[in-house]
Amino acid sequence: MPETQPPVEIPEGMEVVATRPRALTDVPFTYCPGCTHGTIHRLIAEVIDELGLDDRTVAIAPVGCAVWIYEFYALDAIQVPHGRAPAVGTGIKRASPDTMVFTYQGDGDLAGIGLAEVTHAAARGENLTCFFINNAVYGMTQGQMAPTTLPGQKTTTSPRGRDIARDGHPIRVCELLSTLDGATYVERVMVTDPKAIRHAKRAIRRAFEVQMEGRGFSLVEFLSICPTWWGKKPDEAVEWLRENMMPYYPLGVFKSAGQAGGEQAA
Amino acid sequence: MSAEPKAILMKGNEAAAEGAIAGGCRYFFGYPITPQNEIPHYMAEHMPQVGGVYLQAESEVAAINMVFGAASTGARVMTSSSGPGIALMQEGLSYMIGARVPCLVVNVCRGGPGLGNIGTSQSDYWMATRGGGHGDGRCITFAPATVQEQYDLCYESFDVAERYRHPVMILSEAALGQMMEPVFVRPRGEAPKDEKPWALGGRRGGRNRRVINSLYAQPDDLARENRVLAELYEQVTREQVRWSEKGDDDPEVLIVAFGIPARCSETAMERAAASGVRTRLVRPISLFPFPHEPIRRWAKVAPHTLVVEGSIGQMVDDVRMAVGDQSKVSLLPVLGGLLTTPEEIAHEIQRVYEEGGRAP
Amino acid sequence: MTQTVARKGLVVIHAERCKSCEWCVRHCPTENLRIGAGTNTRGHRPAEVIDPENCTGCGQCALVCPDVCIEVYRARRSTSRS
Repeated sequence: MPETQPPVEIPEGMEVVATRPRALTDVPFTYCPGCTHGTIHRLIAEVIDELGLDDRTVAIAPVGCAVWIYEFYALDAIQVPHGRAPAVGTGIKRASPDTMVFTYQGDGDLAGIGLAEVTHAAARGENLTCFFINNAVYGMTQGQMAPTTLPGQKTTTSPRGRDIARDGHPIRVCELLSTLDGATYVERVMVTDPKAIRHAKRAIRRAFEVQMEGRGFSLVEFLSICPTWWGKKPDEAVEWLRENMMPYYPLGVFKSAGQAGGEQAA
Repeated sequence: MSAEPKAILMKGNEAAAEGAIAGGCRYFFGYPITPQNEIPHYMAEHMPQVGGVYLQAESEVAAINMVFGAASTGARVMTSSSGPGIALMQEGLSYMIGARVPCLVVNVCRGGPGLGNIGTSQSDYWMATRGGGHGDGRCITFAPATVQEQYDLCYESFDVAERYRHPVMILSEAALGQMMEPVFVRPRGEAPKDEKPWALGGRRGGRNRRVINSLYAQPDDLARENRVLAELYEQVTREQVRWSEKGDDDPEVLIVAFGIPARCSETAMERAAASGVRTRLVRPISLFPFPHEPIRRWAKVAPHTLVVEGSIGQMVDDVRMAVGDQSKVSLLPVLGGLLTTPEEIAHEIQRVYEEGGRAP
Repeated sequence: MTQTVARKGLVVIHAERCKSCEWCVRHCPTENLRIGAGTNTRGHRPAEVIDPENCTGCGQCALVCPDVCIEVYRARRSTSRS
């Protein structure tokens, strides 16, 4: 397995503004051009570097586009059955409480087959962090309707648009989980532009800090694009996300227990 | 330890739990299902006493994945269930087989298929020994017949699982789980402290990162891993075949049975002897790897082989493979969730004896 | 790896990793990035800096790049004021 980066030579008289995080390996990401999975991967890696967590963190890889994160992170990692990452994380935390654990799951993985696992992990207040990537489709398996697919949204299994009469309504996971007393920190963010990306990084950091302080379950939901299965170029996809996903999935902190008052999204 | 061994009257299920704790198990994740509930009850009571963790999951699917996570840190981890729950655990077990993570799973078999009933049964034999999950994996499977043996097998299973880095399954059954017998217990040992080279926990002080994974996208890689598993199962077959034998050295009827039906057969054999029929019992203790050799050996002698099992016939297939055409194989299925009586078995022995053996 | 030297800011783009998605091109505040003419071994046309003199070293390109292709350096403040 490739280890972390070779040290970077900093040009004479200059300082680093941005470089590859240590918590990422050299392995190129497998995502489609413009897909923001990679952006989120880098933000998580940067926070792990900044908090110095790389030597006690285990990454839990889902089934889906992000299945190969165990190749991308220079961390201990485990690849687990579809939807079961929060349960595997529970096992790791119960056996090794000082190990930091994060799951990285898509909307099919977390809000579909794994909804029971994430719900009960939150209800139990498991001291772990879930990163939930909501791009409204199943990407790896060719763009099927997901639990977060919007009404009327065309996918490979809702070719005439999601029909509420047949397929029911998309699920707002942050709102759902925020009703659980065991959920300490739940926020929905996005990575569509520099300001949103910087804010998303703060949310990642806050989630890890909740875990580091042993204050229970944290989840960050990222609205993310899927250029390939939305059939749009990255910038068009960002526009579609703004116009369609944001109204249905409002950004913000839905739960921030144990801190002086919940913070609203910047 | 030379402490005077103590015998305690225990239920089979409790003996399974105590045996596991004594064998160093410190983490149990389970879910309620009759007829195995005394195991989680016992664990909930006793794990805290040994600094262990008992956690009830929201489903057997979650439970086996909690086992997967905890075991991936190198800990000795167990779950238990009955048929329907074990069925839900198969995907997780397949991942643990593929990712080479050891654990102990106890199946206290009940009537099936479907909801069946909570009576005793052995109808999960195929699921246990043929691998209920997807892909080329099969659980190393042991079948106790006494409460003491259930204790001993659970005690020892973690060493076996860790030796092969592979899940071990105990196929028990409702009757054995619920009956009480005296059990000689051992002191509650700790799991060995040796750090496993594959265990996760973060790169602690900069060791190389470790990955537990069963995804091999490149065909050559997966083929290599499948061959590793094939060779592992050959090694397991060389090292872990276990059975017991009892009865006449010149049998006319070879009886093959495991678990409770094997004990019922022992009484029946006494009756058969009284009416002049010589019999021999081979009792498989390991179901995978299956003890073909002793069955093949005695089938050369006994013109007839009678299989007594708690299903419509599953182990009988393995017996046929072992026996070939050396002896005429017939089956006494024990159905519905009840025990068979020695009389029923003795009657069957008499019937097959008079019918005359040897395949035409 | 194209090495461009700049007074205030320096952007290094790992051409082999670039998938030509244009995130960086769209978010460069001085519109100083473009998709180049050449293709990398994976068949993508990597992004490149138009005018190295024009780069302020703000790092926004690296911030939005989904494939971690971009390193950004800027002149250490003390030297740039002298």
